[in-house]
Amino acid sequence: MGCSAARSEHLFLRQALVLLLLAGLGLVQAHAQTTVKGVVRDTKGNTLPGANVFLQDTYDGTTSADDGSFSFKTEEQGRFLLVVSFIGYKAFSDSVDLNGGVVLVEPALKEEFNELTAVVISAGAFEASDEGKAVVFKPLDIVTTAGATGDIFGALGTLPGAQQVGNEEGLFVRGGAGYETKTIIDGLTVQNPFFSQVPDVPSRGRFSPFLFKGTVFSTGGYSAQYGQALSSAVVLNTNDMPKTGGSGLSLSPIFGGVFTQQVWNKTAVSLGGQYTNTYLFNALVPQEITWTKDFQGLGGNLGVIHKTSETGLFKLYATYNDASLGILYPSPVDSIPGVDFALDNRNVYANASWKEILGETWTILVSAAGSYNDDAVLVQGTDNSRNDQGLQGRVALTNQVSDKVQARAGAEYNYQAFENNFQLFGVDQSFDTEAVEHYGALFAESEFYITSDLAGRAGVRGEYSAALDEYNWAPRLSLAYKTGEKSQISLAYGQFYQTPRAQFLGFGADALTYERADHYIANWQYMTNDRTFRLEGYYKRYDNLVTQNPLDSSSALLSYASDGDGYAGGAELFYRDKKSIDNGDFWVSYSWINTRRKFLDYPEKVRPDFASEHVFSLVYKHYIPDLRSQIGATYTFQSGRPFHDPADPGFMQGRTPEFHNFSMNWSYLTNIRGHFTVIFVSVTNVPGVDNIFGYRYFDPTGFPLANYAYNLTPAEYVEVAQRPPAIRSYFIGMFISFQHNRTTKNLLAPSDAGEQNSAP
Amino acid sequence: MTFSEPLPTMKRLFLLIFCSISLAGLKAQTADEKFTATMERMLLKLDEAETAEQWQAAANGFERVGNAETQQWLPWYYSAYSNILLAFEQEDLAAIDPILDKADKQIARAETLSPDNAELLVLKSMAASARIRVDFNRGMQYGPAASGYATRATTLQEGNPRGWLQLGQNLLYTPEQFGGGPARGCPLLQKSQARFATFQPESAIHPKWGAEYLDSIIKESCSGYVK
Repeated sequence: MGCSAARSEHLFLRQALVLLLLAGLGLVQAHAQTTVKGVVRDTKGNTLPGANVFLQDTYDGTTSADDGSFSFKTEEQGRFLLVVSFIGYKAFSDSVDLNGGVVLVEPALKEEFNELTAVVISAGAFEASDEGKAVVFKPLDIVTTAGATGDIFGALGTLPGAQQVGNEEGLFVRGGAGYETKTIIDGLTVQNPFFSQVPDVPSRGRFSPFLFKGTVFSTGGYSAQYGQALSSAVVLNTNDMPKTGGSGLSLSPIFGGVFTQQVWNKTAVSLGGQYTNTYLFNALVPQEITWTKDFQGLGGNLGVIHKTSETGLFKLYATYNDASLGILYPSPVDSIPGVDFALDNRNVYANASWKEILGETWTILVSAAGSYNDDAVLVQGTDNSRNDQGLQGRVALTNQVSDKVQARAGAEYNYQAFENNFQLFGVDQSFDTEAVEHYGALFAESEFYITSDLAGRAGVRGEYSAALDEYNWAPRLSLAYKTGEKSQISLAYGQFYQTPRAQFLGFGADALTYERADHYIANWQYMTNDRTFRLEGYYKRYDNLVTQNPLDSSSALLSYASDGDGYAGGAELFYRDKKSIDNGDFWVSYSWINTRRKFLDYPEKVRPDFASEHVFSLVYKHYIPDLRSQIGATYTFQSGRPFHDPADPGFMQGRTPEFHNFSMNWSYLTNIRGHFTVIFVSVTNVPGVDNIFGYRYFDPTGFPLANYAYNLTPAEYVEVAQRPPAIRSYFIGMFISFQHNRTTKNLLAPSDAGEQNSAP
Repeated sequence: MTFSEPLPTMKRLFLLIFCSISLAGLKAQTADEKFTATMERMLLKLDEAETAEQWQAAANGFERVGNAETQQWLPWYYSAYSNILLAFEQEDLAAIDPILDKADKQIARAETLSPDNAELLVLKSMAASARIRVDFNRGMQYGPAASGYATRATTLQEGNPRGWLQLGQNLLYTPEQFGGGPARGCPLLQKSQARFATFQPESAIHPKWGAEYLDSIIKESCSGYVK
């Protein structure tokens, strides 16, 4: 018996079946259509085309048209949820009653908070990163900058705020000396980021740019997470777990390096070694100085990256370097011989960190570092050695309070021991100084978005220095406001403290206190995908700068006080354009600075000898696909630097000639037996401009002039110009990668002397 | 209410239950048919899509079906596929990442419904390649990722032509000095071609695209590199 039989026989079943049909099939319902229509808008009233408009749990719906309008018919009856979704907006939903006829809906979609399109705090910061956030630079931009010779600091020197100072170590930023810039790797300050300084020889950074996935160059107003840098912070973050392993070989007439990286499921281990000997370079390229021993360097490094869990990552990087050289500084007068200078440097650095996500919203970063640096220096056979050791630990906890608020707090401990054995030039007496510093800091900071268009970062840092036995606390505040789809303004204020350098503490810390700087920064930025324009103005006040007390007969030793002060104010322009020229990419920086300071042995407040009033840089890169080549050129101009001229009255009243540097590089990408290969050539100062950094003055017997003597007659002094060791500098080298599909990140290149390049 | 010839209660009940079951079956079948028919209709539209608006409409349409059919991976597959094509077509580079973020989420959702699916790995590979459009520097990050997904697709389902198509294409468009170029890519595209010749989709609405496109790139880039 079928259903039809039952239906014909029994009224009850017939009724039951009708009910069943009504409930289960809806077949009985007539084809009563309802039209749903309206216009999709955002909360500001702008129409949104391309939105998905639909009735939940049905197929019925449509896509909004160019003018945001939509209209669709449905045969559904009753109460339904109408959903409107669109990328970048929170889904809109509203219940609608469908009963034939027309239903009018006016959905207003609220923009989703999106960090990628939200305002970015940019006052005093340039970031290089591969990550999504709107950044001005990519890590590779650093490597491919001509004239930077593959050195992170060299590339940063082309950005506004930085001065090109060839004869002293460090990055000189906005009227601050080189030691006022600190280099921070994975949260920890690096004690010796540069190769050991030799008078008049520019020193480069120890760390290869290929080690880092991200770089932030702060020219001021930086986060409370970092301290002990009066002027600037270079924040470097090391690479995460690589996808693939590989090996590489670098060769050049002065340099050889090998590198290999093995990647397993959860662990990656890399090993590298390099040897440098500048014999050939010094023999072939005319030198301004006499090398008694060519630069010779031997180094090795070890990297370990291990996934401690799905979300946890442990990193270790350790490096050892041994470098030695000898220079004969010619005597200014014939009556005495030149000065023989020899350096043997040994440096060990290790940095370990562990990052893990705790629960839903917490992230912990624990890091530790140790460093050992020994400079065995012989001046005329007399021991002038320096030695420093450091240990650091840091814990930082970050809590993602909401999608708009992040809070961070942490603690830092730093131990530093410093020893200096030195002899005053020309005085037959030697002194030993020692300093030990225990330094601790606590910081708390919050980054928050009030709306997508208004963001802030507020933090405070408290520090204690055992050597000074003093506390300080420093507030920091940054704000950014989006003034248009592509434009924004940023403001920053902060107080920054720095403990006087160990070589000063070694003479007694009683009269010393923290050096202090206050930064006020404002900028306006216009940024599209391919173009960035930035205009920034700043004012900085310096207090308690270390000053050297005049030498007199009552004190056997040098002594120092915190009596210096100063200011710096300036305006800077930056423009980068990746679009206007096919395959071309360039940036232009201009900095103007007005600054005065009294510090070290300066008798009065003047423009310091490293601060040029005008600095201009143009960096250009051009990719030529047919030649598989990238050609780069960098031009830097600086107005004259102040120097103290003993012939004239006053102090620091001379100006060196203008500085010009035009450098070029060429990288050719090819493969040798299927292995990716880069051949690299660079020339620094192509036109051979005779750049002078400053002058040294001696009395007619060959001793340095003391205490900034002035109003001297030409017979009373001898002048020696300070120049780079070679007017032009050349580099040629090649890099071969021994595996297919290598990514350049794996070419973790040797850091000293080896210039690397890679594809755009 | 009375019954002239009352059926035994058991029998009445049995009938009722039987009828409900068969009607429920009937309903289930119509839903299935409706799904297939809707998908077929939308696939025709996707085939014809040429503009960003059309791909957007296709992505939205498949998403609606995916939302309503909680156990089907194919709507999410096609919605993600449409979004990826939209991303390739998108002129505003800043808009690409959000579209691909959405596509990646849709692929992830499809993967929960159909794990270890070579077709979804092919989409992941395509999405990674599309991200390179935003900035060619990203090639170093997303190039190997794209090849990685495509390689997994080919090992998971050796006979799937789209895995080989994606892998071959990726190599073809990788510069020679990075280990790509036609000499390396074209043989893989040829492998794909051989698999297209015998490939039978599981159903009318399962993925079957790619043969025409493959022929066009072989013709354009592989003369002299394939036999």
